[in-house]
Amino acid sequence: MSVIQTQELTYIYGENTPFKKTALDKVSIEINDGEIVGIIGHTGSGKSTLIQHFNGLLKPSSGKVIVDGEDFIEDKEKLRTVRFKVGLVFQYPEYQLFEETVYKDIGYGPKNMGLDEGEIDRRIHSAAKLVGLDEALLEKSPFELSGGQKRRAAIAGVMAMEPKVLILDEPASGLDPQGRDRIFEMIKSYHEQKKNAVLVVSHSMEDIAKIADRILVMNEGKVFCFDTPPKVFSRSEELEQIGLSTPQVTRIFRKLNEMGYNLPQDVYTVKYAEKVLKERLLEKGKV
Amino acid sequence: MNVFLDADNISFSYEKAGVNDVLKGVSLSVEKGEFVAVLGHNGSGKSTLAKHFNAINIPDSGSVKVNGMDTGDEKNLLDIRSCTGMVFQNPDNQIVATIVEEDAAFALENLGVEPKEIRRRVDEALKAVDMYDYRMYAPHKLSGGQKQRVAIAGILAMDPDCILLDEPTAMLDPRGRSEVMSTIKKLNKEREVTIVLITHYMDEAAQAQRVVVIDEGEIMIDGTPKQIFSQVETMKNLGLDVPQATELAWRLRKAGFEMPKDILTEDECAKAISRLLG
Repeated sequence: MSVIQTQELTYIYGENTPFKKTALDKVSIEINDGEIVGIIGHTGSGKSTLIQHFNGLLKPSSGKVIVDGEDFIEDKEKLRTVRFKVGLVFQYPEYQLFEETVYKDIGYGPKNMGLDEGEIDRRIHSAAKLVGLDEALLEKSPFELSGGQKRRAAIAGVMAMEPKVLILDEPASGLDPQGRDRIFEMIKSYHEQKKNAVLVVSHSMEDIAKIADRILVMNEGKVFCFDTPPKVFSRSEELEQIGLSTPQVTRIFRKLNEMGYNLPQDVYTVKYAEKVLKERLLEKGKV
Repeated sequence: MNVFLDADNISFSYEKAGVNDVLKGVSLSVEKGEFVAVLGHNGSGKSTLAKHFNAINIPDSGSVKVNGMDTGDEKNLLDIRSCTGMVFQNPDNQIVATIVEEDAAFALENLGVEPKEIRRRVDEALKAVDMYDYRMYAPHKLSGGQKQRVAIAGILAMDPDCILLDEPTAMLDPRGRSEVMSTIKKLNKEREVTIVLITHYMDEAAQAQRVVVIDEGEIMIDGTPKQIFSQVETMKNLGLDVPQATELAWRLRKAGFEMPKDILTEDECAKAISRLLG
């Protein structure tokens, strides 16, 4: 079942001005309930414009966006409920923390949803646990936290709304490798617990490849492809042509294939590369 | 030997914030014209160290000399800052003017340089970072990578001997990252500008001549990219990573296959695997 559907979605910035720019051009996609989708595209490809349509921050110039079976855009009451169904975590969300305590900050969304005190409390604790924030931190001011903790507190605030769709825009940018892994582990465990759909926007193919069921590649306002990671990475040369960077192992395998070794083209993680090569070497009896 | 940056046993704490021992007796010297990358996880002290090299931070103990000038001596400040420039992570926080060329001219105007000379130096700097065609643009119309190159041009116009870059590509997309990296490498090669690059990206560090790894305020390893990244386990224990080519070679070696230890690039890895496959 699809949880988000777009039909010929088009968005034009500055229509009727000399600066008119088509940011989305007849995008028709379906996102299924419970899947993890990675969204990739270089700056200006339309990926941020696209996700802002999913909770009604932008209104289509033409075409439709349907969330959870409803075309919500003209109905003010529905628009409000869509914001609770689709939770959007912006880039560098730590700059949006504002409450006196971490507890209140995480509880801000659930409170606005009109939930009762007990439920709000339960959600705050469960979200804090999901992102690995220690209970002791909840009574601190968000401004006393480290950068990584702030980021996780901000993400917890959206997770606490338990949206049907959680969208994260570059959740790991600016973090060190361990911090990046931690954020993606966190998203994975959120997904395992809640089984709700998760959309992750990223520049990093490596990161996306680790968690996504399907990858949506945007280019110049259009859908370039929307498929499983192996299928997407098997088109690595085309991806590079549209300004995306492919994982280093994918490029190594392409080089080997150019040398005439008949290896699979869909290798995009080091572990998979290792497995493929080991099998090939064992076949040849080279141990 | 011509040492340009010299930190001698420096220690530093952010007293007001109550963060102690950010640097614990760090000694590091960088030679003129060197390209050094500094790696370390968030909070390791790498930015704090870089800020010592243009006297934003002054060590609590030990000393820092920039081109022979002690950063602790206030009368050296202007000279130190005009020979070492700093580029930060967020391009939007460093742009002050509404037109690209005015932004690049900002520091020169402050230094009271002749207008004719400003014109010459700004044009030259913008050409060096490939932003001359955009000189009349409003900065907000530029991409992140272009903005960072304008920030670099502003520093270049001061004709510095050294540029310190604190995660200059963290907020950029892959295209912006490679633009900034090739600009940095070009300045290092053609103008012999000393470069200190702080980064989280292992592939960027692999392009430097020398890599320094900092952890908990101490220098853990210091060497060529090949020497550093061949220590895969050490790097992982420090919360860092190695390029995928290095990791693949390491995994195959662990599995008993013959792979060289110092693989860093795609080409080297592909060639070594090809030898294995025969």
